[in-house]
Amino acid sequence: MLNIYIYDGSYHGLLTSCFDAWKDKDIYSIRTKEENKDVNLLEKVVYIETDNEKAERIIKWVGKEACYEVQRKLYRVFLTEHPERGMYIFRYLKLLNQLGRNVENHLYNDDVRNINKLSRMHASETHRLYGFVRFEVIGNNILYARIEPDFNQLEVIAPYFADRYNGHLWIIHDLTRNMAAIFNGSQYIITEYNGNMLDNESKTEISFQKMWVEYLDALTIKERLNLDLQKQKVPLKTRKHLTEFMFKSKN
Amino acid sequence: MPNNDLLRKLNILGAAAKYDASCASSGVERRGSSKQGAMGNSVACGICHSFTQDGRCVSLLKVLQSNDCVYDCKYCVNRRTNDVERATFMPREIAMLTYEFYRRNYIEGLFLSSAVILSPDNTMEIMYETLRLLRQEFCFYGYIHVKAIPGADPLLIERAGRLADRMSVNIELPSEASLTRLAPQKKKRSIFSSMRYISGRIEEDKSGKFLLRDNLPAPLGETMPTSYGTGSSNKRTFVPGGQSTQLIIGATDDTDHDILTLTENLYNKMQLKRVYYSAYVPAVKDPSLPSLAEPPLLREHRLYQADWLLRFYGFRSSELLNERNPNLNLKYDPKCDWAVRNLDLFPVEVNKADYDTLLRVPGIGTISARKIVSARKVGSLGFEELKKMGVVLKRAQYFITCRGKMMPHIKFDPKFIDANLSLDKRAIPIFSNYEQLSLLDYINGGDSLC
Repeated sequence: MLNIYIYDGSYHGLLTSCFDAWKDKDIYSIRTKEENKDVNLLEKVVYIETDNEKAERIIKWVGKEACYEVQRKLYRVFLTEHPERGMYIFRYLKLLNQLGRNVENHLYNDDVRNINKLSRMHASETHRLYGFVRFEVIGNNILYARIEPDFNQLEVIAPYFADRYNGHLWIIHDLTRNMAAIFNGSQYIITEYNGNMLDNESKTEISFQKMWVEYLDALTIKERLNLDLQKQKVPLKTRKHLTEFMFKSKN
Repeated sequence: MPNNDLLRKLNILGAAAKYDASCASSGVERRGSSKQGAMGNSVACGICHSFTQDGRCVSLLKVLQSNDCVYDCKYCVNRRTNDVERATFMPREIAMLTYEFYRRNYIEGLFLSSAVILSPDNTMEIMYETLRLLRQEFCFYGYIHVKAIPGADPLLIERAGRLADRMSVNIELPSEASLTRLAPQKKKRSIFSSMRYISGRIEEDKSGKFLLRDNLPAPLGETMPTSYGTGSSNKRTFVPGGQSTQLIIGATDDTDHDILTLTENLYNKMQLKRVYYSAYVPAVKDPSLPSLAEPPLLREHRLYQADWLLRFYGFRSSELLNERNPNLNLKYDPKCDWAVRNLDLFPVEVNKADYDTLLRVPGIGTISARKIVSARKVGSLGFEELKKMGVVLKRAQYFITCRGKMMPHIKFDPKFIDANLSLDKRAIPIFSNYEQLSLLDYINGGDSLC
């Protein structure tokens, strides 16, 4: 029998599944309901009810057995929304149980590589967003930005922008996931957020966008033109919401 | 509300600042302030916000206060006798632009430089006023890099330095002879005395010897601001992000040996954080300047690689170059070049060599070396394991053994190695010298690269 564990899509749900499946030798997959499309005859489905206490026990245990960094890594892997993330995390936890802190040295072990690779991909997108989120000033001094990241990033970038624009109002809208982080100047919430792409065409806003775009042109050393390098640094898929690449087509 | 005049100034004074290679916003970790109206923070590894069409990173709003210069340095577009449009920003204009750009997350902060307007003192005072407005009125906690104008009163440098995160004085021309020939009004003495003041102050700060001398007279009629450093750089009162400089490559006949020796001295004796190299772009015509078809980008690239070897790989400049061998090999990178000349030190056994030895293997960087040291604690490493760990063997394969064996089909023979290394024909490797962080280092929580 192949056992498939279905959780509610939350991180705590995923960790509860790991907890409940810990001794299961026939575990085959840990999935969300949406990810569980076709079930064949050999598969047995187990529905997991999220238990925060169990999840917190695992998180604490990871911190004690390994370190805070590993806690962060596993959480980032969850945020990648990779279809195999459930089993990747499960197998890493088993390995951590077996090897203790040493697990981090097993750099050529496939389970360790999967976790390292996905968390690294997630972290580099986070870092890129720190620089590539573009706000427009709309309405009454509200900063509004659209993003379409590969991975779920709102949880990790919201605290950064809350610190940076402390006391200011901002909304970061993830168009892919129909979610937004909304900051009231001191606290942020992450919530579902549909449609309503707030647009602002105030003259002041447009003139600042124009200045930014022209400034970047002025800053280019024509004798060193290297569009390949630029493309490597700013991949085409990331340009959609960058003022400097979209301004001319928009206006 | 911005207007056309502001746009004109930004175009002129942005373009005039473009030959400054530095755009790093690194070296200072500062949380945002909870003060009413305050804005901004700083991240130690630096953040790139955009890349221009030349592939250079844009992190800071890099502008000149003015391009209206009294000097006539021959290599410089802003020289007095050059026919270019002139403009000067008012301090408030720059402060406002920085604030508005920062608010939209276009930038990490401001990089302020200037031509010499009337005198070094006069220029430095105006630049200080820009910084003061930005820090005090706009309550800006983002990153500020400011140029110290050589020859300006140390008191003015002191004031500006207390508001800035990083300060730099550009040496530009690597030797006194070049300076005399191309920039007769700039004096080596005044450049280095400004640099020494800055490095001296940073040292005082670090050792805790310095106390704010708040009884200094304030020439701009303002009270002395206290340090903006918080967090890990809390006790630093003066440029917590350190000092940097820039050298122009290819405008004079200074050799790579001259340049690298100077660089090494700057790192060791002046404690500079970074030395930047800027391939000379023939922007002005003058009989005393070389007529280059193209800026020497590959040479610039090799110098950055050598610079990296000095700062992070434990090399001394004398190991890379000497009087008889004064220029870097353009064929392959300086570490390969060194390794080929020192084959008696190779091959090294990956499972035994210590970290410093691994770092000297071509193709193995700080990240790979760390991985190797960590992974071999739990098992012996073969070539397959190295590949799985993401250690790139393209160059390393000629210089290492795993469990006593070379990689199959690799001959440990100088001619074979040289021929194979030279096959790498990428004239300009796609590698940005202006990138300010190694992402992997950042993610691994390692030390920041700049």
